[in-house]
Amino acid sequence: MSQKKPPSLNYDLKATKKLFNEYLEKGRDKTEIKLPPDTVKIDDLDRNKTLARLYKLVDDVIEKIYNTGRPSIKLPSRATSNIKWDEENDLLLLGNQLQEKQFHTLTSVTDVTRLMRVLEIVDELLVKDIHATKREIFYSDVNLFVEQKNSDKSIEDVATMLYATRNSTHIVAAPKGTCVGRLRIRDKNDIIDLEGLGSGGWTISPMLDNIEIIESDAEFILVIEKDAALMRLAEARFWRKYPCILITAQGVGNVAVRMFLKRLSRELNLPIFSLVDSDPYGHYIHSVYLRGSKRLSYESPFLATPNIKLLGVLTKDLDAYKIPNEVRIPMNKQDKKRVKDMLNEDFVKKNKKWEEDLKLALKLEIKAEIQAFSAHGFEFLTEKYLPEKLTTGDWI
Amino acid sequence: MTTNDEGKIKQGTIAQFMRKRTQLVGFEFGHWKHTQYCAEFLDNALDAIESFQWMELNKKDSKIMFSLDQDLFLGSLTILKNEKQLEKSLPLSNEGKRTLMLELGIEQFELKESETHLIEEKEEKSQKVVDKKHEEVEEEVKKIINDLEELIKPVEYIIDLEPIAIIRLSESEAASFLTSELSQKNIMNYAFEIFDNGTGMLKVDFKKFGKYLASSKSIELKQTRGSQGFGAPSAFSDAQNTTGRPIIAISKSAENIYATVSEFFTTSKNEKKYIVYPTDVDCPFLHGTYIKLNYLNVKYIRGYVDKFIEETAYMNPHITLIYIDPNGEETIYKRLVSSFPKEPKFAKPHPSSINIGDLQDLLAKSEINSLSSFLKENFVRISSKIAQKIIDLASKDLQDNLNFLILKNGFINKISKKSDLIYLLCYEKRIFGKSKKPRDKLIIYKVDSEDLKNKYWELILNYNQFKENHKKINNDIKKFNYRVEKSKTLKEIKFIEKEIKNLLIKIDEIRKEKEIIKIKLEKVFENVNEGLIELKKIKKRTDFEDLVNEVEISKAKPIDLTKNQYNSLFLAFKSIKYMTPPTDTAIPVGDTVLENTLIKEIGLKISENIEDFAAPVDDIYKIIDIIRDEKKNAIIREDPTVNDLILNKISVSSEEIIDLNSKILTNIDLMDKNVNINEFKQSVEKILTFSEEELKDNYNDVFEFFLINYTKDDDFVSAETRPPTSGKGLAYVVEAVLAYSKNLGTPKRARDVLSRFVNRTPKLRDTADCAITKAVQSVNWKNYKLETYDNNLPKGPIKLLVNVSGPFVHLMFKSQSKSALADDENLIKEIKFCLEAIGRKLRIFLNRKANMYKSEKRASLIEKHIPQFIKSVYNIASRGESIYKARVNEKELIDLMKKAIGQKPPSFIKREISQEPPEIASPKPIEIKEEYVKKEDLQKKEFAVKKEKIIPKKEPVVKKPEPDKEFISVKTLNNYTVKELKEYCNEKKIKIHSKITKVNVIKKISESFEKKSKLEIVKEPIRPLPVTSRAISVKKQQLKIAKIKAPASTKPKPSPKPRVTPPKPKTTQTQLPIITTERILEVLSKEEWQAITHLIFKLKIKDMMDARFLQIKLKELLRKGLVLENTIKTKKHWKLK
Repeated sequence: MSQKKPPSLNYDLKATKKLFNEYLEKGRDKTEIKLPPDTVKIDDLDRNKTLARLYKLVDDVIEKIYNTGRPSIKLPSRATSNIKWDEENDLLLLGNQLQEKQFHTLTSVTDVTRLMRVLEIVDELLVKDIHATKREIFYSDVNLFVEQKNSDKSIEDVATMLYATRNSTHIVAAPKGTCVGRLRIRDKNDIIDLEGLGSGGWTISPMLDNIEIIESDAEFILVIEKDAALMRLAEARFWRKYPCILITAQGVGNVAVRMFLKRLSRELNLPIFSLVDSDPYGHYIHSVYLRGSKRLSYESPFLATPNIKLLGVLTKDLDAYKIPNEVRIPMNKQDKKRVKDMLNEDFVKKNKKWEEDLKLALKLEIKAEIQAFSAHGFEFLTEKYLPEKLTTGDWI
Repeated sequence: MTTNDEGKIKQGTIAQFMRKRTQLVGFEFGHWKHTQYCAEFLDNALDAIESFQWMELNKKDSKIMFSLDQDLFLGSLTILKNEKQLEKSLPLSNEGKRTLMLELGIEQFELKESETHLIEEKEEKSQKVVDKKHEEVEEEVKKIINDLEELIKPVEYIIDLEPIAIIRLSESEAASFLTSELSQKNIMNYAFEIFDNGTGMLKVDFKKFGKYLASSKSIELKQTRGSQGFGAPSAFSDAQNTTGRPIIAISKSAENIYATVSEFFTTSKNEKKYIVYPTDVDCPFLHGTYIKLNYLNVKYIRGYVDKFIEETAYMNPHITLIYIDPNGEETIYKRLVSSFPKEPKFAKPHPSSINIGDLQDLLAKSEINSLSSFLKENFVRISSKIAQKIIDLASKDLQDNLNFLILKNGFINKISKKSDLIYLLCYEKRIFGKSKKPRDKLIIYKVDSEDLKNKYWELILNYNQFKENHKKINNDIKKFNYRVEKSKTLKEIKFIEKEIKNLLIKIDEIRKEKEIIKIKLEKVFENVNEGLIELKKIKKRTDFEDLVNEVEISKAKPIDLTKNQYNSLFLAFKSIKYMTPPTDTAIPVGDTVLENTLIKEIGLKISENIEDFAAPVDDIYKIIDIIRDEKKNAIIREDPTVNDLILNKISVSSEEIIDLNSKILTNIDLMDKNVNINEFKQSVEKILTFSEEELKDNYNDVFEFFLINYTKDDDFVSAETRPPTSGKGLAYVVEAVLAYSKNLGTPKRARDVLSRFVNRTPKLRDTADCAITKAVQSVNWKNYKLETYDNNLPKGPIKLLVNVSGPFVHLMFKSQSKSALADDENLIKEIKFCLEAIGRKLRIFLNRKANMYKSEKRASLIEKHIPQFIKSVYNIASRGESIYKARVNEKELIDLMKKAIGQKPPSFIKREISQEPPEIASPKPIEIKEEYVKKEDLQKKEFAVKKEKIIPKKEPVVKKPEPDKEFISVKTLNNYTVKELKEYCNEKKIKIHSKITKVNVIKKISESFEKKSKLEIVKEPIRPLPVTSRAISVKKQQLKIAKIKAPASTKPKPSPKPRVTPPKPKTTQTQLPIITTERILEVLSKEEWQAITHLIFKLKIKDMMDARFLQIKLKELLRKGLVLENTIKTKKHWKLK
């Protein structure tokens, strides 16, 4: 490895510290999020409340059968037209359009049956107070669900049907994300220090209701798109030099990771940065952390962290850090379409810096991965790029 | 052989040519040859039958025409049971052998002149003298008659009533000496027999029959099957060429008492060589023709002749066809309609279809004196006005061509140089020759005066100029026409056509100018006495006379026209626009007939006219009123003094309504044998009991049930007949019919889908080559939900028949075998339009079918999911804290949901008939178990509101139908849209604002209802309804329902009856009491054998029918044993016993 020491020692993370102090002064945001009047309110419920809602729903169905023989289920529509961007809170939310699924129609008979089956499983999970993954649900009745995407859809529908978060239904995502850094947590009876887990880190548990955050002296949280980048930072013991918590979800953040991040943000009140590839998909990943995904828009208030900043890799960084042409990748058609789609989103339009960067990407028609910095040596990322960015406050 | 005198070129005859080339007409060895025989003679037979019927229909009161109203009982008919063994090929007679060898070219064909003469003489003789001895002939005739009688015996009782054609094909081993020289294997001898009771032939015609180009149809074009007289003679040639056996023919026309029988060979000289000279003979039918011949061919297999006859039957449902194949199987195609198609008119040629040769021929043959009447007589669409116009034009053209102008008072020649001599000719009254009276004489003057000459020259110069212009314009038109052919875009063509139009207008102007000049010329020479020198003796006098005759085309006789004249005539003839030809020369089969025929022949299942059976009428809606009124009337009848109060209390129970409905249903039930009665009753009961609450929708349900039940398995058939059009100056009409039925199965080969017909005759060969096929291929069948084969013919369980009728088709055949039509843009377009019209109907049918299938599938899919759904619901409810925990029952829920399948969700405001007060008045909030719901105030409230709405129903309330009171609950109202509610308000005259909210509308309605219900109990209006009319309307409806159920019955759609309903022949017995048994017995003597002619004379019979009756009577007497019968010289003779 090159012995050339980058002038990294001087980075004081001025900008980050400033933000940290701002947050500290403002204190924890205790004001309840006020949702616009024409959106659906979703609650994070405990077992019994969820069960109560569930029985109410089933009673409705039975009553309908007794009355007409034609049961139906009403649930908030999750069509794109019913997904609204709440400008004030910077969240994607579900409008209050309702859809009624009739059992006696060809189009929805299977749907309704699946819904009822999932509801049955949820009932069982809640009664027994256990958790199950989406995959397990699918395997509980493969003949009915046929494909996992069908059962996944039904699971989401059941949650909206009950006006509850998915967590309330005791159906959890498979563990996927990793967290490492200056954080101590309790998982039921085990206390885990995330600093002392080597370079592997702690796998974020999907059963977050069992997790309790004990303490942390970190000054910021860094969300990283890629496993490999996290490994690089973990190997460099990045958090030792710059007190922080590192999280990766290996791609788009799943519910567990996002919820965990939300918990961290709410309880620790730290600045959050994301480090993603300099491509449309990277920007999309950032946007999902920022204001939720369309698919799970009803749960956005429980998943989104609107104060997350996009640290990099920005398109303008490619030139600023003299990324050589060999590691720049030309955009393909699909990439360009994605960028254009992003540019049409309201939350992008509102953020001038972001819009500018995307437009630049579209103009240059290039993209690059985080690993592109390796062209300047493997330490470049940890020694130069990140500290410099965090110091200058060059984020979106 | 040839001598110098004879020259090297020899004149052959058509017969000679055709005899050796029978394949030109389709008689080569192979399976198709069987069909060809069948086609040729069946065509003739059908033509004969039709022309007989048409002939009789034209007579005022024909007694012998086919009466088509009788039912046919051919069920037990078998012709073949008593069939005797066909005699093995007899050794050929010397005569036969010789003819055969001659024709096969084994013996030297070309004979010396002297020999030819000898043969000719012999032939001459043979036509007059019977070679064989009388006994032999008699024996032969007897055999022939036996054959015939055997064939027609089973149908004898209808032989004069029913249009019928019988074909029998029988197989036997061919004599080895005949087959030894043939390369094909498996050659058999076939005896082909055909009988038809058509018009029959007169003896004179009979002698010509069998000769080439001897045809009753070739002179004028008509929509007939046969046309020029090639078919039968070629068949005869082939028959005797292959077997060396003579042809047997019997024919009798209704005018003759005796039939004519003969046995003959045809020769290359287009002559007949008789084995049995045409002989009078008794025969068991009034009119008809029988032909028997033998031919060799490859072994018969199915799929050729049988298919041909089957398809013929499709297009000729007005004639009964019987076919007996070599395997001894009998197929009978019964007559299916009760009328003949209209007689097509003879088609005179249309001017646009005539070329110069045709015109010349017609002119040469014409015996008419004036040209204008010649034109009128020989062509359609030429009136005397148009004829005059043609002649006028021709005359003008002729004057220009001959440089000889006709003036009012004479003729003048047209000069091209000023120095030329000018002659003026005119008729003047002079005394000349022997007569002393002044007569018209052509006087020739020479123009001498310079003044006249100058004036003339001035005018003529102009005239010539115009003539030149005319020529130029004609050339231009020619060029433009050429360009039209070359140009591709429509725009271009339109432009050029416009140009041509302009030029034509110019020509007209030029013509007018020329006329003006002529008038001026006339003025110049009018009353001119000076300056003219009469040429008394001029050498060219005869030339001038000829010129005058030639230029005066209007006075010329058609037969004497000169070349110049007919060139001009033809030019004029072609330059005029004519009306399109009349279309009454093309007679289609008719779409209704086609549809019905296919329904019967293929056995399609078609529910008749479902469309007629409209949605339930109001009467049925008010079924309660009907029943109540009837009850009321019954009470009044019993006790007329009954008071209104009692009448008001009459109630109608649901059982009574069900009863009435089932009565309607059972009416229908009984008529279809395919319906499983038990199943049917169950489903009907289901409908009726389930719809208990919705009495007024009862009928709707029943109606829909029927529609679905009866049309579910329906097949599709649709025919389309295009309006007649014309091509090449002759009319034609296109029609097609398409049947779609699962039972048909999808044919593997594309050609089995399409059946082509030309003038009702099936065309089985050369499919790919035919314009009809091309037209069918040009249709985009995928548009009409049909798959296609690789060659774009439609694929599926279908049968498609396309028929092109009209005299036009005779011009369109590609070859003498008449198996394919030549391409014609308009013809193809016509067929395409026709098929597309059918296609559109098919698409509707297939879509409906698909929907039905979908709804069935839907029901099954939904039913499949019910148990699983209920299981989940049940599991949740029974495990947890559901309010239904205690009483939820899996099976009950499943049943409830299953019942709901197929029911439509309420789409209009349903008035719940109930005695209970509106539900809004008594909301029963249930207790909600909420112990497990801890402190969550907000939610509690929300839930409480929700739960209040739940109105538990322990069980579905069976409400007694009480039509007197109607209530609407808030709950049901909530199911409707604001729009529906508003409409309801308008209907009930409930006042609302235009921008009222839903909640308020519901409020208003329920308020108004509460009021109303109170009021109505007090003053419920009794509507005195006339019971009789109601009852009648019910009956009507019942009838209507019964009508839809007559689907598979064999009753055809009403088709036109024959114009005259002829009395059946049997009734003549009472009309003509002269011919009684006693009288016949009186006339017969004991000693003398008397032929029927004697008896007719003695009985003074003048009517053919009477003669026929006499024949029948004689037969009857013979059976009774009162008379004796003896055949002397082929004729039957009778005497008393």
